[in-house]
Amino acid sequence: MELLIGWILLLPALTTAGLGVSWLIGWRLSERTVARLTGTCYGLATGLVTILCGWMVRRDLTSARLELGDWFTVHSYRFPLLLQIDRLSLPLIALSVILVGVIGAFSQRYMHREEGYLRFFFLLNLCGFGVLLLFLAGSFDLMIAGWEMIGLTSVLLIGFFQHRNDPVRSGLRVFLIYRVCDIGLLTGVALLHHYVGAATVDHVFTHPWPDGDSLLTGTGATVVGLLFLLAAMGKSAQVPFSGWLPQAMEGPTPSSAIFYGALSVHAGAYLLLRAQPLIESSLTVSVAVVVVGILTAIHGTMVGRAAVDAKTSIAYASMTQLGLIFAEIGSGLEWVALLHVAGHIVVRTLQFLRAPSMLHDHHRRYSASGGVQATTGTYFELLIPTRLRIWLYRLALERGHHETLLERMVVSPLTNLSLWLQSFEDRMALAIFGPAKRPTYKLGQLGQIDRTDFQQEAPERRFKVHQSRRGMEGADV
Amino acid sequence: MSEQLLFPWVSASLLLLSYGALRSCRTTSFELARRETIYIMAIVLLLLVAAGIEVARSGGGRLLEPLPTWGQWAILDSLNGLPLPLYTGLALGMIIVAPRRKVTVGWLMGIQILTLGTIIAYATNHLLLFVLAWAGTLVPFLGSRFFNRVGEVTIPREARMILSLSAVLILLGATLLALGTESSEWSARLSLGQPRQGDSVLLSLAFTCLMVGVFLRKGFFPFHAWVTRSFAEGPLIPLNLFFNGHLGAFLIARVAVPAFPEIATAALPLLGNLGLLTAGYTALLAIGERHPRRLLALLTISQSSFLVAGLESTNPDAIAGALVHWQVVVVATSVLTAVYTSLEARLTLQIDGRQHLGLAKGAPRLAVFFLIAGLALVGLPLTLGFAAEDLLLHGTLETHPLLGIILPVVTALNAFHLMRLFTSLFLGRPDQGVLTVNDARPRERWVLTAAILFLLVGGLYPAIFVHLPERAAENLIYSLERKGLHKE
Repeated sequence: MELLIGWILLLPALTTAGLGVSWLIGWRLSERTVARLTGTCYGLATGLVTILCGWMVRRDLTSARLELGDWFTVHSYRFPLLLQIDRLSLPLIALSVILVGVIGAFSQRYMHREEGYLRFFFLLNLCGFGVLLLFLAGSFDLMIAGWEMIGLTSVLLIGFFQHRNDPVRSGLRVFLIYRVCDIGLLTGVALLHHYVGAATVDHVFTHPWPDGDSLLTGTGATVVGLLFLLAAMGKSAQVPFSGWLPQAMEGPTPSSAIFYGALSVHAGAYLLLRAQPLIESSLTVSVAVVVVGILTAIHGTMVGRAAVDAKTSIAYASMTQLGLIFAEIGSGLEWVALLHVAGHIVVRTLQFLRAPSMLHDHHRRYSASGGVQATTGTYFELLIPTRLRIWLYRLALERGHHETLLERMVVSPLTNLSLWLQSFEDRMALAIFGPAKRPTYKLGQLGQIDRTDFQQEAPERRFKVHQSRRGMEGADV
Repeated sequence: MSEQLLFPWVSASLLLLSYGALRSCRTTSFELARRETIYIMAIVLLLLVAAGIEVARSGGGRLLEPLPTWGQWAILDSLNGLPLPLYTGLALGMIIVAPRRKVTVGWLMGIQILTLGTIIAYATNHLLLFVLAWAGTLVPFLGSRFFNRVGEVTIPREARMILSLSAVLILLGATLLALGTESSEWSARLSLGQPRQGDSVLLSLAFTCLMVGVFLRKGFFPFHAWVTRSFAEGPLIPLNLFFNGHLGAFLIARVAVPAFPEIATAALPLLGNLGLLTAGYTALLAIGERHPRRLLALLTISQSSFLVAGLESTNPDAIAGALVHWQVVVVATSVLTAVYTSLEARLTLQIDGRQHLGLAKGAPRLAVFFLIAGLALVGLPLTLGFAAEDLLLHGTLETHPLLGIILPVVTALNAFHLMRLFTSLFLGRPDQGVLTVNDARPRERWVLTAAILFLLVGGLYPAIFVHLPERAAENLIYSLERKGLHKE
């Protein structure tokens, strides 16, 4: 029966591989075939999860595991391929297979005749695989694989409308934040190996979730816990890494639903829940998790109230709830947090999927009521002094100035330093070796050349391009 | 005791390659020369794959060529068993993929000389041959008839000076090594990788010369500028092949550590830190860099520096990780270079990386190849890069915590640079003229698919590609343990 765990993971992997290979060799799969493949995959996966769940309940098992040996071993280091289902992962796996299937069915019509239909479903399946790998992983090593797979598909789906510059730039920005925060997970897992000797869940904790205690305590637990918190903050859009969430709404609505309503944003919460005994063993980490969560909740609710479009508003509402989930995890309320996660996933997915038709519904209701609509409650904001209220409103409009601060304090200094170093190097090379024979750009003038030279060369360049287009027909490169 | 190979695979390969280079020299028809070169390289690849399989079957032990007198010249073991066929396959792939308008008979000859030199350097057990091979790989770049055609400038003057200096230093180091070794037989003095005993001053000088030669060639800080300027102005494919020989890292593993265990152990932390500094510095430089060729150069240097840093960690996991990372860097950067070169050939405008070109619309397969190779380079899960990064990180954290912490930071930065390059080339609203380019042609598609499959299959079953590097790491550790210098 444990083999079913492997099949749950294998199904989306095979579907993803099938779609990828068919594209590579030039098979043109119809939209219906692609959607049916995805539907069948997640339908079967849902069935397998149900059977597994029934089997576990009948046998009164709290966890089941499938050991597939070692992925690779070197000297004393081994990377185990261990899959497991327990009381933490089972509900999330069940929700994942159901929701990815639902999103697939929804997208069949929503993405109809959209350029990149196959690409969307390929990435959706890859995301499904990544999510299941994350939830099924019996070791933190394997978790990294699922974690990064989710991040990558998320970024590629943000930039889904690749013919526009804004989604592409947003995707790039999200990628940067993900990668910076992933350092926490990578280093944390490596440190787990260093301190405990292994990173499998049963090596790090004494009992299955949620009864286990951490075998790592003291400074080690604090360091690893803080690193995991950094990783979780990035993936779950916690302050100060929250700025990417509204930008991520550039992707198609179904991808927003599955990533930022359902699965991706909750990956951080899952990581912290999985590492709950470790967090509990360090007061510093517990307090840090609560503080980050509360700050995010306040930030999310404040900015969400000033948001002017539906998806951004939902994104900030999502951020608020995630902040509360973090606070629950930090306070040791793991069951509450798990229920909160499950409920939030379902509600937020529904909201995101309804978002495109919400405005239409609103107009219809407005017309049906003859332009008269009831007020929506008491405005407690009026209790706040006016000047403070205005200041808070400005702060909310600027989204807490997070992006500006990040730009001024991190991005700009690093870019300037890099440009200065380049300029210095080029001047040195010029002084020692003389000018280059045929420079492809002027050395030491990188800042200026960005604006001026390109503008001056543009007409000639365009002419060359037209020439090249004519020349390309039938030309062998 | 060393066993013998079933067939002199390496000698036969070298004879074939030499014949191919001479044929190219005499042939006037470009098409004929190209076809012949491809056939010859394919046969050489098969021979070296057979050699690699034999090494793997022997468990990575030392194997000699079955030649009566000259059999001792080459040695195959866990260190070169995989790089030999990998490099040849890479050279063959590059010849097939290279845009025809950039390839000349001299270009083909240059690639064959480069491959010949690299194979000799990998396989030889003779110090003098190694030095000759090291210098031989420079010939196509220093000469004017190889990669230099009208309108295309070869590598800049400072690069030629630095590379020549590196060859001189290697020659000097080898001479000092031979002179400083206490032995009555010259064969022992000129043997590669044997532990040396003798005049400590001469041996220290030899080690210093060899290491400086390595740093110059590998573009270590502060000698990295020649690589970026060469990539910006020179022939990209030959330069990529030259850089991906990683003869510097090979020299450290083959000569420096086994021959000078005491000196190497004392110097390793310093060398590791230098590798780390190079990786970090080039990643920092790349933040402000937009020119795709220079960005590619900086990424290649940065990721390659981990290789040396891992080799110098004296930890088996990290050394094995570094050797696996070698394979990843070689294949991934070659795919990036091949795709970028084919884009350059399709567009006559100079790609400056300051605007979005949106080329994925016309060339989706090239975009996918570029993305997968780039992400494999920075350790994407389910690619061989992930296994390499995992091993490097775990190994270096054990012995070299600073590197263990810096490695993920630099990798994250490099991943961002790669994604930036990808988005500027393939995504976004294109410039009006750059709307249509052809997707990968069949010859490009097959070669690039093979390279991507290598990275993906390696990601799914890393054990295949980790086995030989693990043995090589054990051998390196063993050479330190013999002197009691390795600490668990």
